[in-house]
Amino acid sequence: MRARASLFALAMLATAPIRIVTAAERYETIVIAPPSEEAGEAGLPASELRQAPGAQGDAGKALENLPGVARPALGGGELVVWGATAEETRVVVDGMEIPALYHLGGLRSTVHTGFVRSLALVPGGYGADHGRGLGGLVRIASREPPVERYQGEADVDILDASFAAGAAVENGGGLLAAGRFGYLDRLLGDALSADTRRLSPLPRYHDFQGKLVLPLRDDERVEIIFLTSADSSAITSNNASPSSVADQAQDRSFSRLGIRYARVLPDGSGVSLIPFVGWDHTRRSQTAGLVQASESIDSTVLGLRGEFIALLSSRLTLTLGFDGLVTRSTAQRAGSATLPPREGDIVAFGQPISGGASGDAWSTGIANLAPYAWLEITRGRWRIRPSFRLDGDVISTNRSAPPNGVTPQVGTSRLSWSPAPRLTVEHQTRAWLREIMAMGLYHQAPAPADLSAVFGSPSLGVEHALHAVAGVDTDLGHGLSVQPTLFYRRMWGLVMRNPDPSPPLAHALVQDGVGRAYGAQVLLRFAPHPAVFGWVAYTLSRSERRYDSESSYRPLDQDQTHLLTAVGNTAFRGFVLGLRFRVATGMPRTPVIGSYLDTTTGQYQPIFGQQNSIRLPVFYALDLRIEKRFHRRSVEVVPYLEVLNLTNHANVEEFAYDEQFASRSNITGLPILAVAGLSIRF
Amino acid sequence: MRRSQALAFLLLAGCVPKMGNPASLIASERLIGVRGDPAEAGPGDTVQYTSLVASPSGTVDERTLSWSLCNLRKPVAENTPVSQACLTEDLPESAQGAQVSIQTPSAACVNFGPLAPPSSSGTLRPTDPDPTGGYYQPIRLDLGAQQAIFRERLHCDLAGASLLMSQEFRARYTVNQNPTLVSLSALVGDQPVLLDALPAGQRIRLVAVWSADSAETYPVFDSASQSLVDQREALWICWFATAGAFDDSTTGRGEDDPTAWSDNSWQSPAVAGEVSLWLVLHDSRGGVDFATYTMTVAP
Repeated sequence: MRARASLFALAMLATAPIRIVTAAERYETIVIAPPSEEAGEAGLPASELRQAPGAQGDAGKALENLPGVARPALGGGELVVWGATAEETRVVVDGMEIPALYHLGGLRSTVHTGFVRSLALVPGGYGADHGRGLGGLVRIASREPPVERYQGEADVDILDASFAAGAAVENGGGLLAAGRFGYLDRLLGDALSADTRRLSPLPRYHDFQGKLVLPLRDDERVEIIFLTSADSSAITSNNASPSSVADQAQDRSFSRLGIRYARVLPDGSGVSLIPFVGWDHTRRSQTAGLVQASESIDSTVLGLRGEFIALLSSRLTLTLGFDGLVTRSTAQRAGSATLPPREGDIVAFGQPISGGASGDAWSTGIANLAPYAWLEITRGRWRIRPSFRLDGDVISTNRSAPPNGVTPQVGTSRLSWSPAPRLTVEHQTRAWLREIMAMGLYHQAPAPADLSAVFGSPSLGVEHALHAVAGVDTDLGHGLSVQPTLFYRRMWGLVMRNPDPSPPLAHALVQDGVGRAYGAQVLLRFAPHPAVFGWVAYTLSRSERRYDSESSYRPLDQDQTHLLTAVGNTAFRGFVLGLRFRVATGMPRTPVIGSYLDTTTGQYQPIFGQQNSIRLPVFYALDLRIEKRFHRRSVEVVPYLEVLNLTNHANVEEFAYDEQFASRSNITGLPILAVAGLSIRF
Repeated sequence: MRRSQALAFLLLAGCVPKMGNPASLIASERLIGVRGDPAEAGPGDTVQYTSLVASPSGTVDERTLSWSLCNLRKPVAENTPVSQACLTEDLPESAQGAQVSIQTPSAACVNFGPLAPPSSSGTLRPTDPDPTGGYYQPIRLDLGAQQAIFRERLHCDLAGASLLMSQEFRARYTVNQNPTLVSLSALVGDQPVLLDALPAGQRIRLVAVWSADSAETYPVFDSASQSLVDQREALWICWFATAGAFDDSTTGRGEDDPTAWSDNSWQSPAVAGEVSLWLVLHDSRGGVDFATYTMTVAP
């Protein structure tokens, strides 16, 4: 019992021992692999992910190399996992939910890798301790401050400069801080031509993370954790005509402050509690010809996550927990209802934007209060984890109908209970063979932006999904392992645009969407030698959406049938050489089958064929990373060079049409591109 | 579930690679403009419509041009000025010819305006106004395989406003008038040149002037703040020619720019001969004017 207790202490207090081999390694080994516990969860060490070419040392960015993760569009930075959109996947740092894993443009993670102890992507089928999302889950645990003296690292490359540093304080406590400051826009802004700057918005970003650990007694501690991130980007045109002006500006920021208490009780049980507060801000303004759109949302977030783990017997563990999040938002929006486009909107690149001009200012309160229980039963080769979560969602808005003269506004408020039973079953057939299956129900409340009486619908409720996952973990020895996984996700009650030409008032969005995603993935990992490692990840999947009234599905806008990533790394004489090869099916697009002249504006408009019935050409790219490690006393200096798209393949990122939509051409992505950087660790 | 931010960037950037013939080059017979008189009509009003059809041999009096009212509402989800069904459905022909008169449907402000359609299942969403506060009756034009849409601006009441606000709006509102093209001049460098003696193979600056009263000021109802906001029309010119190449297919002035002219650079053809030039002037409330010029390129 005591041994089990120490394991829980390890998990709850996050006091994973730091394997100190050399001063240089001391820092890096802090990034360790989380145990692969969930079905479909890729068991790749974050240290390996961090060295993958194309990630520039960013473990979060390297998630794109995992199976089941779609290749994001250039400049998109969205995490599409098993056919779920980025808005359907949750990112949790030390129990605190954050709104974005990546900065705008997807160049970097919002949490510095030097702040991360473990990072896990669970594409689906996760347990009842997390919810509020229909898609996957990204769990990030912050690392521990050093137990003695100090440690640190500083990194510089053409994108940004960053640091991570930790120091021990008295009584066994510690302090950890990390941050990043992006300057790509300042560095390249003046070097690029005005046209290029218009077409390629360079984001400006920074982030900071801090953690203070205060031990109270043996097996008891308090942690104060602070996270913040801010982004902005803008493009400005100087078109000769007001009918073809195209400007966009976007700001996004979030902050989280949490106080985490954890204690291991004498009987081996444990308790943890983290109340937190946060602030989110998004603002975007766009002008497309005479059409304008602006949106601003400010949210205050209050969260509480508590968990009590009781060891009932050597075979039985009970976890009781509470996961609550209250989001209070105020929002203003003006302009076109179709700008920016949503998933499922039919648009063509270069299409003149049309749309009405409406306005709304509203406030929302969305509370998700979810008690959960988790039982872990171990019997022989079997491990069964039934869990149950009861999602109570309170959704309120201050306006149930569009503003109308002096008519007093009437708000709405409703409570819904959504049971979320989940089950994971593991069977250890052989020492090298484990089967794992998981299934469960998942629920997600609507976004505050969708609750507008003008641009959305205040009556939107909770969306639902069913996950089913089955996989096998095999360890074939000699550093070779294979993880094949099957997955299926069904979603219903999805929020989509109202297709009715005459929709009811305050129903611009409806919950008539149905979706499904299914497929198979396999992860082949090899590490035959300590200096050699790599993996091959292949996913065959299909993600589709439709209206409930329709009989046939259409592909999701980000659907990619085939995803193949092969990564290989080897070290010799202080050099580390890595190669990455990626192949991905092109994303669906809707063909333009004709056009007509809008004589009122003098611009041509496309006539569309069947939605998402064609695809962009197949993407493939070969990337290279070389780094050299220099050691001197307790300092390690690591210069590195990454060459992206080594073969200079012209990957098509979008179709473009001429002014009359009579001919089509391709917009290609990055040519061969070298990124150099320097990392100093001490 | 917003669509990829990258796509939004690309869409907004509007970086269409140069390919094919520019829209400004008239290489075949093409409908390029329609003007409605009056430029803003109430339900039941009769409007006279004039088309402008250009061809490599000059302006064409196209008598086979078919005009059809489209009374299909556009779903909120569609990102086009009119319902795609207006282009794909069979519509009864309202008139035929280069210049026609069509009566605006009496239900226009219900179908396409602020008055919600009648329904037994509660109040329906009225059509969103455009950024100028306007509502439009679509008319489809068919010229052989070519299709075009003209949107007649409707004179309707306000939606979602108080009685007092509606009264103030009516008192302040100025009904849209078509803008007026006044003149076209040409310069080589800083030197004026005559349109019938343009040098071949030269960059020529063409300057189109419109009347000072073409850009009107009008109030727009801001539904979020429940107030009236004064706006001024933007104007832009679509340039067309049978030869040569323009720097921009469209040039113009924004609503904050009071300048009453717009210029464009035109690379004259290397071969001497006559070139037909068409200017189609648009204002942001749907008003249109057009003019035709014949230029002579000298050797």
